[in-house]
Amino acid sequence: MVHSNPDDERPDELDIRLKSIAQRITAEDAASIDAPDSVWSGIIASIREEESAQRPKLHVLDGGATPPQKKPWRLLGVAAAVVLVAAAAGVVVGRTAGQGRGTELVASTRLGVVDATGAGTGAGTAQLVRQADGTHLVVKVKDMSPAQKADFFELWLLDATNGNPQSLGKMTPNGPDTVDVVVPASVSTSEFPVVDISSEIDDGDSDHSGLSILRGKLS
Amino acid sequence: LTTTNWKISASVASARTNRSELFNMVMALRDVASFAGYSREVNPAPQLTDEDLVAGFIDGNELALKAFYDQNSRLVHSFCRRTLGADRAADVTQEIFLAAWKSRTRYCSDHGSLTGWLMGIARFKVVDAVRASTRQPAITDGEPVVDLTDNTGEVDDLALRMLLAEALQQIPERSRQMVELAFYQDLTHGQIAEVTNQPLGTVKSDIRRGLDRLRRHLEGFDGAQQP
Repeated sequence: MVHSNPDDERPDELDIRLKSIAQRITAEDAASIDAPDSVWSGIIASIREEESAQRPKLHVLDGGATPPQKKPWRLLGVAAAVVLVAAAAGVVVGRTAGQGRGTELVASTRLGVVDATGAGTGAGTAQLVRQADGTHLVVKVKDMSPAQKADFFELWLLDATNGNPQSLGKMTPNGPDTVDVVVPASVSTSEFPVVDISSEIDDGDSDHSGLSILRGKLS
Repeated sequence: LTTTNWKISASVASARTNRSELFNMVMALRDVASFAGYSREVNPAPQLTDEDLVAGFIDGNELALKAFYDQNSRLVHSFCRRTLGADRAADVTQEIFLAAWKSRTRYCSDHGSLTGWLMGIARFKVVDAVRASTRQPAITDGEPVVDLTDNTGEVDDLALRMLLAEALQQIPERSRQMVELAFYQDLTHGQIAEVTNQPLGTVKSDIRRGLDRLRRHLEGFDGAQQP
């Protein structure tokens, strides 16, 4: 037995079972063959498909806009659940820029190039506007251009302290210069006051790429 | 460098637990470059612990899933190959990892290892696949497949043998030698001390540490539920 000496600890049931299994291990049991690469790609494809089915849609209603690509993006944690509910209720909609009556400008900022990343050039503005159906972030960009290959841009709100990002959706390169999105009720713009536009490639990673092109703090 | 730091910051921010934050930082420094298509050179980073990986996995971190897959796909795939044949092994391996991913919040590290738990799920999936195949015989490529027709005990036993064979290889060399002497030679602790020329206390602690790791795999396996 594993511990048959009286001085030793007594083996318990699990140790006895372990020994029994180990004694039946054959050379073939230890041999192993790598899974083909298609297994991992299949796993990721399946996860993406599921995310895609669940994620809320961000529509950019502009004549020049191309349809959103299938790269997934996600909102984090509770925000995701709240937005899903909102999306189901048809609350999350995009619209063309230009506010009508009943709108109130809450905060605004200029969007400047983030020199530290060297991710691109351009300029823009962001306005936080309260409307009957919620708080909108209206972003206008001009001549925004990534420094390297980008499949799309992504709009984020960042926490001012540590840069915690909350995705608001993606923007299509060569698409409209103005994007209007409803900020999910779960995302506090006082907690996440920094508007950020990143350059993203369609690599299956829905986190922020770290390649911020434009940024500005709402005030 | 600034960009890399920002990437880490973004990853950390998306985490929900301290352990998971640590996981993200380590992964960002280690091999996020290759996984996320990042071209930036990064310096060697601290070792990722099992606890970091588990926390990241439960938290839904895909980098953790990738690390977990890299660690265990060989074992799972080999198990599927032995039980189902080469033709179906890849598909069922994929199903097993997806099932584990979807039910990850049901895993509790207090009740055994994540690898053991994964093999427990693999066992359920293979049994399902075997049952399906008895209804509709599958064509294999002629490689030997264990005859498991309506014999889940055989599936369990093979899963456990492969799990422990793998786990034994992960135990530090000295501890593994002692455990093997106890398992295969039936030596007492005192005899192992003589054979290995180690103090009895060292033998006892080495064996205990080795057995504890094996036990956690067994407990994880037993703790898995039908996905």
